[in-house]
Amino acid sequence: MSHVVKVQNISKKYLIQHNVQEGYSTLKDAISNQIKKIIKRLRHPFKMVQQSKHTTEEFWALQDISFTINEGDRVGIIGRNGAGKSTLLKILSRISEPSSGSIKIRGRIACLLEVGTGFHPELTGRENIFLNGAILGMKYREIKDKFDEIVAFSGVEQFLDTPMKRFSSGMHARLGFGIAAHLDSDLLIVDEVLAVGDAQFQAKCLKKMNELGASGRTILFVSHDVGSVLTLCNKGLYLEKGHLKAQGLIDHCVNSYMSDCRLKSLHWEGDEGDEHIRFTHASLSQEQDTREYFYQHESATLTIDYEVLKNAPQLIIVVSVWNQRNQGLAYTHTGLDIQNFSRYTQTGKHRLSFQINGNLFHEGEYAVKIECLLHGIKHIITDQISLKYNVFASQKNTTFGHLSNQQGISLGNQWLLNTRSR
Amino acid sequence: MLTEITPQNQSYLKMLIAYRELFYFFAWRDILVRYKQALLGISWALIRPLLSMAVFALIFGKIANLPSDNINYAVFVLAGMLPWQLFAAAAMDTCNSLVNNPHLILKVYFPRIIIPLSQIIVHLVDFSIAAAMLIILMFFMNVDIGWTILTLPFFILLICFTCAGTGLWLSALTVNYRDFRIIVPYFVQFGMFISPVAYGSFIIAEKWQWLYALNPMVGIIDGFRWAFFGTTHPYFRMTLTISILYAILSTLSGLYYFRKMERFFADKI
Repeated sequence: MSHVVKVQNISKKYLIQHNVQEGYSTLKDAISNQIKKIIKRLRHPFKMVQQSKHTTEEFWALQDISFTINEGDRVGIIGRNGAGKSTLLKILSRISEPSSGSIKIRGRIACLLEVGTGFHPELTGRENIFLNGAILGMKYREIKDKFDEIVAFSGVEQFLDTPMKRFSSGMHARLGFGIAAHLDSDLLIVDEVLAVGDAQFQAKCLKKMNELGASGRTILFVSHDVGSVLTLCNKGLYLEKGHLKAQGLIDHCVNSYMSDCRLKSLHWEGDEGDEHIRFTHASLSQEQDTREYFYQHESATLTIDYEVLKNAPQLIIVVSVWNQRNQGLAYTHTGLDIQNFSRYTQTGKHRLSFQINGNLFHEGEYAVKIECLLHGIKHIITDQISLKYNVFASQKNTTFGHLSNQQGISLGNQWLLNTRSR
Repeated sequence: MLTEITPQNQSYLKMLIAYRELFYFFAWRDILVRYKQALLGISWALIRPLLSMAVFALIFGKIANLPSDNINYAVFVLAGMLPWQLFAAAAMDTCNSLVNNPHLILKVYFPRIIIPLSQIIVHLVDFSIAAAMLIILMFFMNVDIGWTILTLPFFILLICFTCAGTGLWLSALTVNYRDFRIIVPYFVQFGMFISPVAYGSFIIAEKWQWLYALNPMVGIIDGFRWAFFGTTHPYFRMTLTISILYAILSTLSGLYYFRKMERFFADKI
């Protein structure tokens, strides 16, 4: 397959100025500073007056980045704030030039770093479609041909002849995305656009981008939302502090990104407990893989290592799953295993495994909490052991993008359909 | 189409051709926006020069009684005002054109040169409307229109290049040094008095003519007067040569400087 983008060793350097001594911002400050200086001079006539100094510091926003993108790839760029994602997009979309290195891009580039760049508030919706289209590089004829499609996508028929200044911000975003999405390009570059609209708009955008991706368009996509990157992209680039830390399959990149985010800990090591029981290890893992996140269809295996020091029949281990808003979703405990109940509390070292059915959960961020109590007597462990993990929609099913407001647990996927043919 | 992004970009002209419609769209936007929500709309393009013409004719023609080569003072002054207004407005607007559109420069790519150059088109439209009005006025006032009117396209071209050269320099400089936003309006105001707008260049004393001719607008304005009325004077050839040289040199150097600075616009704006 031929590559659309070939990036070789690009770096981008910025010079940052530090104004060491005095930074006047207004004329008033400048004058009062001068006067102070003169007074200082008069009081200490032989002391050298320190001159104001500008020191410049080099800042490398990107360092030595190389990659290629093949035709039809949907590439997600991930990384934390300030990792250089936007700088990279700016260079790829030709807005700023790299300090060194070379880039080759075959074909037409459509870039959407912001929704509705160049919309003029005084012009009507209709006029702005033409203006914005032209700014993005469309020909008059092209815009005219696509006009109806754009209007239908953005749903602003009613307001076509209203000045843009009276548009709501949602309409603004929809129209902006609509225009860019209808631009025939070989490479579509999209930056965080989805952050603007409501959930419905985001779903619509993702769906449109999926369609574009399915039709073989090459897409470069930046988002903080790992979920939408996973649903949309097949390849990934993971940037950290201006360096390319991982590239290749999206799973691999997201995995590397997630394992760098300290918040999500799939492992817990320690020594917690009292004279009855001590916990030393807890972890969540997939059956075969070693990814740092889970797909919806996968079940997670929870493994707990503990040692019972003093036999106590009231000892119960509780496992519960909590969502991001700290609402408890699911709950179980060893006391439910009636036949084997006593085996859990025999003295000695144990390894307890538990399967959490992955189909139970919507995509999102979850915490597994492990508690331990002496029933009716006291809580031994309440908040000390908790594991955090992310569930993402499985990559294969991308047609519907996100449905908003997925809360609680999932009813799963056990449909039964009878069709009587007429 | 293969796009190479390296510090030296060779395909600029190709890009410019691909984006040629954007010249028109930006000009169209600015004209449309200027007359939106204005009661009198596009007729302001006629009213403004007419009003200034009336004021100038009253003050300089009637009260100060300045000579005007035996041509009706009103049309004489209007013929000088047209190129001057075009140049002044283009200089001021091109100067601000880049810094007033930071979102375009930071968020989308197209050849930046389109932004200042489209400003000239905007003012060229105003110019054309006023020029048509001048010819109609001349017709009504029985001012003879000679063959020299055929040279008008040449002078329009000349002033376009003068504006383009000046505009390219000013717009690129303003990105780095905002001082030009303050300096330019001042010079435009001041420049009208050292250009033959309200008077004919023939009233300048002979020993100062060489100094006066250094202003490139002198040759252009005299050129327009020659095209409209056929009036000429001994220094016209010299002033016109200076104007043509200025137009060529400023355009070439302006292009060079603009291209050199363009790469850093997004980082500096």
